[in-house]
Amino acid sequence: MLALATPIGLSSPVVENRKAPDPASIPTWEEVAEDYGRFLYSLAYRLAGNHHDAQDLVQEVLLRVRRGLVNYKPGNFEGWLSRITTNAFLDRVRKQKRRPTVSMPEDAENFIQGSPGIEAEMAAADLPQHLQELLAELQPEYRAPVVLKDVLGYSYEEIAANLDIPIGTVRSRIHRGRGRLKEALSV
Amino acid sequence: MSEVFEEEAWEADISAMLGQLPAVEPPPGFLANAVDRRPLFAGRTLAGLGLAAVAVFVAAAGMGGLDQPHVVPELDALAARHSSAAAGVPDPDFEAVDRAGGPPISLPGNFEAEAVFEAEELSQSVYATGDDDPVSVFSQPGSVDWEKLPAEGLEVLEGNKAWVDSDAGVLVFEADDSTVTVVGLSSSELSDLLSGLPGAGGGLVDVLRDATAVLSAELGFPNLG
Repeated sequence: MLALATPIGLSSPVVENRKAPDPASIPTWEEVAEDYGRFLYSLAYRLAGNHHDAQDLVQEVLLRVRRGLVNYKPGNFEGWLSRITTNAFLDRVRKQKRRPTVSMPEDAENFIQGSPGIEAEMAAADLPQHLQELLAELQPEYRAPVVLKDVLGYSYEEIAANLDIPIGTVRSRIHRGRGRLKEALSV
Repeated sequence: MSEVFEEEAWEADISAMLGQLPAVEPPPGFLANAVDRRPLFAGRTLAGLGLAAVAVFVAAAGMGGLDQPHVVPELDALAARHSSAAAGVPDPDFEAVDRAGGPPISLPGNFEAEAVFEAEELSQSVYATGDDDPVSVFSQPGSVDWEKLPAEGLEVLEGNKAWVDSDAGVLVFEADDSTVTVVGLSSSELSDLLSGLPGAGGGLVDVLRDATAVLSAELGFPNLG
């Protein structure tokens, strides 16, 4: 059994080791980058699937955070950051989809591209990395709610608010996303 | 609605595996660099951008004059024109500037001039950026009417104004009574531009400087630089 490391969720050391944020205070942009940077990066990596895109995504998020701090109302700051990150991620996906050179599969059931085959079996020796690779192959619309639910530990209600989609859609996408991961893992 | 939701056993297994994915550390120095870049955002970024723009347009635009109109860039229309040009279907109202059969003018790095168009008093220069979407640089005579642009996008740093929409990849700035609107910037390009740092394929400030020089040459603006 592989010894899996800690999740990046709300109870993870990434968060616990940070000084407890004061919900009544608004951090500066510098404090966001310093105190939440690792959280943002980890989330960005789980969504984007690779370091290059994760770095671009974090840069985009920090730009949005910097601009959004002016109007931020004290509350669930980490939830606010997660919302910005997932929205920035999905915006990037939508922008990439508009490029004529890359076409997404039209088969709605084809959530995972390609067949893992023998490479997947070999990769299974490193389950976290293998799981991340499979996660990255989920269509973004399914990947985002799965990451928010299973990696960050958000509730369905929080995810629905985060992604601005109905809660039933959230449940459906998570269920189907998990299903495709299960299929891929059992190949 | 309650959180109660019946999950099948296999779903709990998948969820548990995902929940045990480790935190992902950013590359060494990445966050420090992000923080270090903050003063650039706060200060010399747009100052440098403004200086670069002024250096170009003081010389190039030469269309100054106290009677220049205030301009509110029609962002949606410019974005549409950019998209059309990027798709190879330029706005029919725009006329391609004759290059006399010469090759496209190359810029440093991965930026390469693809086309220059003009219509009335609006000019558009389109640049390919390698694998990324192209970037359009629009210029039109007249100073920016900042008050008519959405307030949340305004930046006023060291006397230099700019308007930024990072979501749409749009940057508006003013140089010597000309309004310059850059459309199609990726987040990293915009970040580079705002920070004044060179990008992987060449600094955007350099690109803009050359782009406007191209416009000067192509459109016959006086180039005093």
